[in-house]
Amino acid sequence: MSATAALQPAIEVVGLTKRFGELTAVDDLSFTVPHGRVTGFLGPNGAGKTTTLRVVLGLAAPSEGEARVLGRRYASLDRPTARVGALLESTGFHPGRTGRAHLRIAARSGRLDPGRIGAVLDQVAMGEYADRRVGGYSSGMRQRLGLATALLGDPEVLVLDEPGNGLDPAGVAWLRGFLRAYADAGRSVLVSSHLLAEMAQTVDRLVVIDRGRLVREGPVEAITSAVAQDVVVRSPDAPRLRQALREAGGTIADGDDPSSFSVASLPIERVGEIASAEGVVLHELRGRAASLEQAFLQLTGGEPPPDEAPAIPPPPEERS
Amino acid sequence: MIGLIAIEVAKVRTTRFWIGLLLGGVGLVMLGVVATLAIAGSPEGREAGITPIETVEDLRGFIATGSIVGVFALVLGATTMTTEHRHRTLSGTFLATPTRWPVVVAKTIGAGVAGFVFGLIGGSIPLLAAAVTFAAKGDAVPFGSSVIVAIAAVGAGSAFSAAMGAAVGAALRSQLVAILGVLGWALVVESVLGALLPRAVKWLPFTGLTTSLTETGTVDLFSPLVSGLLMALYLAIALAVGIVVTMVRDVE
Repeated sequence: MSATAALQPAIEVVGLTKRFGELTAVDDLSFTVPHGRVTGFLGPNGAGKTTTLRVVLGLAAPSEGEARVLGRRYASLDRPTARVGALLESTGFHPGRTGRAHLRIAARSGRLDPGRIGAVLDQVAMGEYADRRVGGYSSGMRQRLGLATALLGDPEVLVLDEPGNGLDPAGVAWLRGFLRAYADAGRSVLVSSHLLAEMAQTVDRLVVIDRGRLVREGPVEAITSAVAQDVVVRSPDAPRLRQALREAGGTIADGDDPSSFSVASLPIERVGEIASAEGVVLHELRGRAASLEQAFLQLTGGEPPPDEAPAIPPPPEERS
Repeated sequence: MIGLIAIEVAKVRTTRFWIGLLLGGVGLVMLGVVATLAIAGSPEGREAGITPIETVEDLRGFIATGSIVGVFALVLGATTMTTEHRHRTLSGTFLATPTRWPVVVAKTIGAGVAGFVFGLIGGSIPLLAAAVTFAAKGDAVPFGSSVIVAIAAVGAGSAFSAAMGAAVGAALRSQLVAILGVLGWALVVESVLGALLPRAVKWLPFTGLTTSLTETGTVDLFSPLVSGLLMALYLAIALAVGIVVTMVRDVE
């Protein structure tokens, strides 16, 4: 990477708007993806994540604004797949072609080193299946082949749209470790996912969008701590303090034992002031940061993503 | 560009679709060849204008039987871009070559190359069949350099069909629409137009222009040179439309 390129973010989206007729899928969106970080791209279904990634990669034209990768429009990069590896949710494979033939074509198309085909197949644990036709692959195997394609050019930037889809737990764990190591080597990753738990364990920064607009951008800790957090309280006189906090507008939730509870809707300073005014002894008073899921829900004001939300209904015989 | 053409040829070669089309084309040519040889010289054959092969000119006419393979080349061409829509591989193609227009040109040329090979095979089958028939009678098939030209002409017509299919297909998303569209035009629309406006036949790309390459002078058509120029013009127009549509359209 040149000194000039190092000064620029890996990806920069500026005032991006994308309309499909009357529908505005992405609305004046701006964010950056720095080098050496895993940046999570988060938003509810239909928030405009995939559309944004397609514009970043030159597959869709912006209605307004622009997206730059390594300081240039994607289409003006020389040998783009050698610099940017991409896995899009919508990408498919010809079912009649073998995995290895697919990678050979990708290598020739991108003027990439075909000698890396074996290495990337081993990297995604697909070497054994490479000479089978893709039509016989499971969704997880297709996802691994897509990752192998993205990695083929040994790129400095990775753009991954829902890369965990179809992967088994071992595959997801591998992906998490791989992305971490990739960023630690100074490369950049922009990854969109619905798997909030996976995101929380993998990403350094977040870009949260909703209805095509930027909701929040920054380090994960900054985003989770910026949203409302609850306060953990432990006191030998818990019932009296609970009552006082309720009267002050706090929402109380039971803790692990009768002496502890948590308070939402009141800042930690106010909880301390109320305890002091009531003359209640405190054994513990601390703020508890919101989880990524809580932050996501608060920021987008929506439902949890489908893969985490609904409880599985009981089997028919258990229903009354 | 040569690299891109090689990639497009590799894309066709690494699937089995082309094999099915080629076998279909070869099968149909063989059927035509056997039927022609069977009735040539018979009262039914004479009635249908099918005469026995006695001269080089007769053999050239017989080689034109292989032109039917061009229909299969047309389908092959029409699927070069639409198969990428169908299997959603186009994003990978344009991630590697984001300028797009060279891909459309390479697909058209690549389809033309494949179509030419189809045509050479299709044109060689009647020659082979004639040689075997003559050898069985202890005779030598009437041969001349014009026979080679006739096979090359079948190849050129087939190459044009495949390239036109690719250029037209580049403007469409649906593989079914592309296949039915080009077949419908070549086999139905041009036949109807030919019946309604016989003098316009020579202007039609498939029943007129490609036929003129192999026709031995019994029908009112343009010369092969004029037909070749018109084919280049038609192809350029179709290719320009395909490029414009591909350049402005978002990839899904």
